[in-house]
Amino acid sequence: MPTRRVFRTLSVFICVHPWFLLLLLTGCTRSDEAPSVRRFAIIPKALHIPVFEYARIGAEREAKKLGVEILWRGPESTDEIRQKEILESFIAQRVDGIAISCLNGDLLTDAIDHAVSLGIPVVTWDSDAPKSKRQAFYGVNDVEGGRALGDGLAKLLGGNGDVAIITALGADNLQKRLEGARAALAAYPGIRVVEQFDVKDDAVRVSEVIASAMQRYPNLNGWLSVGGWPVFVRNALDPVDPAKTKVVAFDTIPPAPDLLRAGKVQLLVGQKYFGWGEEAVKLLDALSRGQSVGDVFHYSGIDIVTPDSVDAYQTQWTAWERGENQNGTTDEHR
Amino acid sequence: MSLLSVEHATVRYGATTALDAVDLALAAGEIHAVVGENGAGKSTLLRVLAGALVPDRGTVARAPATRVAWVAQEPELPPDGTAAEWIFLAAELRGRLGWLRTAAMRDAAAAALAAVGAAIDPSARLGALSASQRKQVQVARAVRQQAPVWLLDEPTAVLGAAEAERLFAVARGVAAAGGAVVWVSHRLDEVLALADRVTVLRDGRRVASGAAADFDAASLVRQMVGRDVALGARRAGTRGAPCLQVRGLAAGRLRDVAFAVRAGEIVGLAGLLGSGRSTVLESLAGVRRARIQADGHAVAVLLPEDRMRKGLIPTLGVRENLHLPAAGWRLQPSAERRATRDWIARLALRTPGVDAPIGALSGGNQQKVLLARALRRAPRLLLLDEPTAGVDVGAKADIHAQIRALADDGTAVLLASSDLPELLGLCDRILALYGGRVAAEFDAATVDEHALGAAITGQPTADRRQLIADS
Amino acid sequence: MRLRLVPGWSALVILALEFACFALILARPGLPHTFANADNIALIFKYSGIFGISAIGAAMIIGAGGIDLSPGAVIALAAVVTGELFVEGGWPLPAAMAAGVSVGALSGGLAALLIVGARLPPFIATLGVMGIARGLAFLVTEGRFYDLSRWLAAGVAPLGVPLSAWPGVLMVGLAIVFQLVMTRTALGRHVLATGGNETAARYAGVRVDRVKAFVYVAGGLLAALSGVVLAVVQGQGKADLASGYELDVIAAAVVGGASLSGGRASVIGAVLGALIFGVLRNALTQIPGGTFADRLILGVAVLVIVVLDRLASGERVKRNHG
Repeated sequence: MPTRRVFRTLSVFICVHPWFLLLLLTGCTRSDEAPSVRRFAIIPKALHIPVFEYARIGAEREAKKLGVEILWRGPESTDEIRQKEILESFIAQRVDGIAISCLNGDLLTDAIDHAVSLGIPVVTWDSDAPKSKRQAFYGVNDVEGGRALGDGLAKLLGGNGDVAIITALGADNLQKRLEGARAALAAYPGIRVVEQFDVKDDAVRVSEVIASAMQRYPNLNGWLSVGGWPVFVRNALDPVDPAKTKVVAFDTIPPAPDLLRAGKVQLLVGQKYFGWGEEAVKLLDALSRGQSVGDVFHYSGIDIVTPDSVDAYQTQWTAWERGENQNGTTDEHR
Repeated sequence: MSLLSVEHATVRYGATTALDAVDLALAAGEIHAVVGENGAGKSTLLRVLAGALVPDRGTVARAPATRVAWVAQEPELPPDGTAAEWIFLAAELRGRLGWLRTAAMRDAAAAALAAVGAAIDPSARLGALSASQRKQVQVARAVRQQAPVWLLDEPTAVLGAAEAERLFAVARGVAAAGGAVVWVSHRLDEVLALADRVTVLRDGRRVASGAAADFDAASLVRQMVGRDVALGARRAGTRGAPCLQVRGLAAGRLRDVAFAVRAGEIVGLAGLLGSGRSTVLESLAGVRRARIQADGHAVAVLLPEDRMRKGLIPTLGVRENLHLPAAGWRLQPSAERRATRDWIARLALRTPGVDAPIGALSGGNQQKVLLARALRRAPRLLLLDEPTAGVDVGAKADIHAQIRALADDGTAVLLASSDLPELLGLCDRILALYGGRVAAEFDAATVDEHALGAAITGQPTADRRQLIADS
Repeated sequence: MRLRLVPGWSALVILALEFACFALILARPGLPHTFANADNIALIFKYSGIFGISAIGAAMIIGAGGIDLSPGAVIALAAVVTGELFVEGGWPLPAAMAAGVSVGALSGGLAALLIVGARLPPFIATLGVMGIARGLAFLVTEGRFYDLSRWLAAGVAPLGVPLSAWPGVLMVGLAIVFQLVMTRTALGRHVLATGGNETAARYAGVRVDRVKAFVYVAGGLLAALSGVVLAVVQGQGKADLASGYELDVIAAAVVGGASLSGGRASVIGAVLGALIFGVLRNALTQIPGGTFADRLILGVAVLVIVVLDRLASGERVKRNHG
């Protein structure tokens, strides 16, 4: 009798849990064939953010070259808990390497350390988790980037004028850029920061903020944005009179260069978007073979783009996009 | 020494005085009836006695440690709660760790329900119960509370005869045990039969109070309305062509219901609680799914029972409630206002205004609004479900007069009621529902309450039963 | 009686008070006013439009006793569909816009089907629709974003109205139309009757299912229209647009006099509610540090306004039976 009962319980269990059956089957097939291709998980801050598309292009290109598989997955929106969940699921899947652009480095530190303790190489890119045991970081030095913005704007204004800053609360790299920018501006006694705005990563809110701030500060001399919000869309800067007000912003992805040409923006600080993907995969490749990658910080350097250099930059960009210049990751900046 | 008393209680709502210096003292062992027309202040007085409303002036005195059970007229019970949950709400039985003792509560609830004669599963959803069953659940809650003082507001308005009898016994039991009952009712016969003392309210004032034996129905009505009211006499039946022919109707417990109603005829539907009176009407009106073989029901207009749940839209005003569904595409507010004024005049409807919130009206006047809503559509077949439940004497007479006038004008009326005297006084023929069928059919002129009561309880009535060879 | 005739009247008073307060706070003696000037008011209308148009639908849905959690996602999907067809598909703009608006008929239709057909509670049904719409938006874009502004010549003025004025014009125009629908047509009364007591409305002969289908489809269309307006006027289609806007939209309707228990709602009130929030966002941008506190202040404002509204009208109504 007990045998029958066990059998019945089991069959009921399998009937009501088709997933269980599926799991058993996939478990069996998985164990049969040994993974031959190394799988690297690349996690952006969010899928919808345009800059990360270029990182994906870079990562996939590099993966093809190295013969590894890329798992490109991230939260749909900038949801830090969801990002952590994705990271932990990759750890559970025992991928061969993880490269992540951290929404909140502190939140992810434990998970990253756990991965490293399991022998999974972890690289951060674009946005770091400074307190974690990740083996490498690739990206801009955000403080430097912010400083470049601040310096650039101060020079455009001849060292004098009223400036407003656009930021969004919450991300570590934005905070560092803000620090750098404010420090650079502080070196010019003629520059006054009249206001700082939080646009909450909302593409519509940034337009609203710029428009109503121009009501309040019609004689503003400069806008400084530590993120690309005002230059990701063509008309957010419409209320700004280029004759009176200079604009500098982070990021150079389209349509930002067009705004530069149109004279609406005077200076952009570009990152190595394709390099994020390429370098992260390269680093993971080396780490997963047991090679050393030396120092943790692999600063990518920045591209400062002005109306004079925009055409050259655009040519370079096209080359990166096509993958013609594999050294476009600017080793010269290291 | 009284268990509970109020002295000079005065309650004002804005400009209206709902209670005007009313005194009432409740002695141990008595059933004290409070009667009055709708709007006279009965429910307000009960709320003051229950402690749910603090009077603007006057005092409420309660004997020490006297608990009060209050059965409100039309409370909104949570439709997804169970009968047992409601009976024990805020007085749940708990185990040592604070866990609910569900089984114990279910058993105790079953006992309380049995005590009021209700055949209701304690686990039944309240929303699935009829109005009368919900009332029984409320009374069972009072039984469970074992309070010495009971305040009952129109407890029998939605109950059938047998259920009402049972409740009388429960109330007498409370009084016999040294408690006291305040019994608010429109049914003067039941008041006179049950109560030891009677207090009559009119326009918020106490106009009479004394031993029940000192009153009769006529004197009570005179005190309530301040004038003599002639209750309508039976009308001479005039019958036209068949308007509704039901050959087979099956829904819920109903299996095969067949009958006919002629133009100008008032046909009554008698039956116990759960016998399917409402189901017949709702099936014919198309608001309930049913298998139905019939002619003529397409023109039916229903005045539903349970006006709070099935009738009124509390957020709309009198005019808007009356004009529902609104005809056509564009609303005609001025025409609606005119029409509403006409209905107010025609039905002697008492309302603060054409666009007053429906909640500002008394129950009887709310019912008149619903009647007007049905009549506005000039139906050839009118289905009335408990049209005078919880309605005061004056309004009841008005509504009866309207029904008679309609029939005289050639409207076919099908009337379901738990109030047997109402059926007997108003109808030409009465159908008794029992066992899912029309068990018997009577000529209202020759049948009495006794025979009707027997028919709806399934007792053999061969000697008295008069099958009318109608067609 | 006046309270009943003009539900949402208090929203107008609050809007006026709010505007006056900020006009005082932000005044600078001897300098031109940066808040109370025509340009800035135009700006407030421009950025309130997206919320306001959706809030019209929300008011009707709430009035009918329902709730709609999908507007934010539907706004994004409509914007993305318009962007995809116009930028990638090469459709003429009016056709792409029409397609974007039609997304609302689908999402609203799905909600109606789930609520009327499958008898799902509106909260659950529209939660599902929200997920589906947002998910589809991400699937359509695959992380891209559509830069519509590149194709929209500067200074476009359809029908002689500048592009930036269109959100406000549409919001006000549609508010008038739907206010008339709600107060002057049988349909509008049936919407409020259904919300007030669905069972009673059904017994009275109101075709409750049709009423509910109407409000959800109309709500979907209005949300989608907001999305299309956002795509064209702001020049962008992105899958993460309008995240969380559904709650702002509901808040606007509630501040405008809609009762979440149904039966009470005002279309004009909802649009006034959207403007109340628009004024608040605009003014907070002009107050130093304001943008960092705007979520907090918006949240407090909702509570304060609703509580004041209750105190002003609701609490005095006592009932008297008996």
